Amino acid sequence: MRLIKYDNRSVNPLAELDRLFSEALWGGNRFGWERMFEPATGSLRVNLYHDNDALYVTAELPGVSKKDISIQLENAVLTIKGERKVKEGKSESSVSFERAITIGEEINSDKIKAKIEDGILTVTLPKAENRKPKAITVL
Amino acid sequence: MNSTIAKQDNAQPSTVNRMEYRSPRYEVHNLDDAYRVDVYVPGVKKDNTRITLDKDTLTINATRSDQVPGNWESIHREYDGMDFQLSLNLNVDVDPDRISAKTEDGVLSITLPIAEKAKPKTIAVD
Repeated sequence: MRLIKYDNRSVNPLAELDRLFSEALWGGNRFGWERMFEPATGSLRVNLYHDNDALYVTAELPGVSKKDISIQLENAVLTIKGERKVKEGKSESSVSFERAITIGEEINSDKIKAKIEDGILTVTLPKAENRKPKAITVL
Repeated sequence: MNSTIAKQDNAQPSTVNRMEYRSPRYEVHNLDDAYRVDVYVPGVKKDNTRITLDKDTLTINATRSDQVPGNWESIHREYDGMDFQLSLNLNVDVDPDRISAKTEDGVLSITLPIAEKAKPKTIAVD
């Protein structure tokens, strides 16, 4: 009997629930009918990457200027909050979004950087020195 | 006489080069004498959009340039990086010469002025 390890690589604890809702509502074709902001948990889609030096969080935020975004790191939870304002003639409407991501690594919180370019937000969270991969020489 | 015979690629049948696109979200706003279409195309720089108007079909093609560096390993992905294509059928005559577009923060705003002949006219009664 082969045991398959259940590898939950998602940092969103409710990702599995999101997936079930997505499949039920949008019929499994996630990218056909998807709306960028889902009303349920995780109202903003993010991608997570890492390399040896840092953890990276990217999100699609078209039409949001940097003054309308706030990013906080508290107790290993990164929260991205903001709003998108839309002008229509004289009236202005706004949509707000929020996303909290649990960061499982030790992060050098003083050196966190964020930039937004062409509607793509990239947050760089440098890993703390003691968590970077180290080569150990055998004497 | 120079005769070159084209080589037949007998190895494999030619495969269709299929491009995959995602349809971007968009909003249409009604201005006084024009329509403004806001297309949400994050990751697209100004030079990478192509807007064409063919009779009454407005087509927008946009390619993204937000690819991550090759050494980044993906942990979790919720959105893909597919390029965008959107085709809209206009049911109103627009003035093609005065169409303008601008890009800001990943939003492409296209202003379509309504053609003179399609504007509402008041008719005087003698």
